[in-house]
Amino acid sequence: MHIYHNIRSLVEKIPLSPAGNPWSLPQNADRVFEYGKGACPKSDDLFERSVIITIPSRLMVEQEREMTQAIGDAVVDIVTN
Amino acid sequence: MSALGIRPGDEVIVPAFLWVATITAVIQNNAIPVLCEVDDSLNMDAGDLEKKITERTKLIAVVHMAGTPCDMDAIMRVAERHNILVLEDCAQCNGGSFKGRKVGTFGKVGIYSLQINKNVTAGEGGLLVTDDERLYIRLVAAHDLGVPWKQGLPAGDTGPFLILTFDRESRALRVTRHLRDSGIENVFHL
Repeated sequence: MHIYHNIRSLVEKIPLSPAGNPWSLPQNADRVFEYGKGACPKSDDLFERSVIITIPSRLMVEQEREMTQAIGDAVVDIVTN
Repeated sequence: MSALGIRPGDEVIVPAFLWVATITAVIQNNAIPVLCEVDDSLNMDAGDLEKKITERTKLIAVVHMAGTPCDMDAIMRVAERHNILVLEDCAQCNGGSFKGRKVGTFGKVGIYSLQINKNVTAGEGGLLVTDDERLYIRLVAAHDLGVPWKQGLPAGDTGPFLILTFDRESRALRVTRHLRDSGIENVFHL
């Protein structure tokens, strides 16, 4: 639900009510937008090779170092295997 | 977004990486969400932002994701060049700053989340900031029955405003009538 093409209601333009959605209104009818994967190729590329890691604010310095080491080890493992 | 006057025919630029609620707000106002690429900070790419602006663009909704502030210098330069409002969604960046200035204070309005998952929480709810009093009144109205109040009294002419009808219709009608009786003409009930 954070990445645009994972939001099904957006990709499929599912209306909030049976009356329709913004894309079916006459004011918007001439604007054609697609939201499926590929709509933002640069972002898609970033999403495929990015991992967000939560770093709690109360970690000790040593715990941060251990986390950094573990991430580094994982990256090396991925790259070399 | 309703307080900012977003309506059918408008386009709102949103980043490709966000939370679904930002897009839902656009759709609830019957406007069109327009996706903008993100840069390697996973926040809105100001270079692509400029390419997505059309004569229909009414709002740039930046989202400071995962505790990382957007490049607000670059984004505000684009927004000011095209005279387009900026809304900052700071839900994932409560207390964050960009070059020493707090996120949420660059655009026309900044919104913050106090939802249960956030590092500062009230269980649900949120906060907003703006330095525009008229907009503040409209924002409060959009949040609460569509009624433009100021210090417990009808706020006077805050411009055309839509009474929200997700509350009981009869209540919205009563409020509309009350405001008109108070001399506020630019109130409409849908």
